[in-house]
Amino acid sequence: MPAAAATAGTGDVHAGVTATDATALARAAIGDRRRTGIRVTVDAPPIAETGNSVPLGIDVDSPMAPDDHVEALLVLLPGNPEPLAMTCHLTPRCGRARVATRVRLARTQRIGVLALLSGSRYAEAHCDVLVTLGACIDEFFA
Amino acid sequence: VSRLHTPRLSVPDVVVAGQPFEVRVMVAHEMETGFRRDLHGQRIPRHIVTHVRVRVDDEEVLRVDLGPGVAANPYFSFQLCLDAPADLRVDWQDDDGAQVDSRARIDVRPRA
Repeated sequence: MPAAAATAGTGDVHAGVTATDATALARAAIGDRRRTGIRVTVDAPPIAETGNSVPLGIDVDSPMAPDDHVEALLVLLPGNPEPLAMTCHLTPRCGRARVATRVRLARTQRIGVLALLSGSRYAEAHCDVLVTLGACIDEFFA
Repeated sequence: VSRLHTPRLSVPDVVVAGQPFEVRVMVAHEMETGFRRDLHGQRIPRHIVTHVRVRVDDEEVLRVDLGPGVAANPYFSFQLCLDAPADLRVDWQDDDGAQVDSRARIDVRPRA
C-alpha cells in the first residue's frame, strides 16, 4: 500500500512508491490531521521554458518550536508520472521552515505543497506553472 | 560501490547564536527517472539520489526523500539554527548504493 507509506516522519516514503494519483497521496499523508490556515508560500516561475529544472521555493510561517513546528513538506506534482517529487522532514533545529530546490515538470501543472505540522495539523498551498517544453518522459506519452 | 561526485556544501563560517541561517547543498547526479527510453526503445533504468541527510553533531536535523521529480544535479537550500559551534555533516545516497558526504565546522558568536 504505497500511498499509506507517504505518512511523514517514519519509514522510507519513496521506496516502492507506485501511486500515480497526487490526490490519493495527499489524502494518505494527511490522514486524520486537522487543516489550519497557517501560511504556506510556494514560489515558482509562472512560465518555465523547459520542465527539466524549475526552481521551487517553499516557506511556512512557523515558529519551529518543539511544540509547534513543521514536521514534513511534501511536494506533489500531479502532472508527472510519479507525483511525489520529494518529502522534506524538518525538525525544530532548522529554526525556520524555508527550503528551496529544483524540480522536473512533465507538463503544465499546479504544484502542490503539503505541510504536515506538529499537533496533528496540516496546511497546503499551490502554484501554477506553465511549461512550454516538458521534461523528457517518453514513457508517459507513449 | 561507486561514489557520488562533487558534493557541494555552502554555509557561513560564523553564524549568530539563535538566528537561522541558510545552508545550500548540491551533488552531481544524472537523476535518471526511469521513464525514458533509449534509441532502441529500451527503457533506461532508474538511477536517482534517494536520500539527503543533514546532521548537526550527529543528530539528524533534516532529511529529504527524493523521487524522480527532482531535477538532475539535485540542489537544496534550507535553514539551520545553532546556539553553539557545531559540526555539520550532509550525506547523500542513491538507489545504487553510492554514498558521499561533505562536512563543515560552523562557529557561533553570541547575539549582539
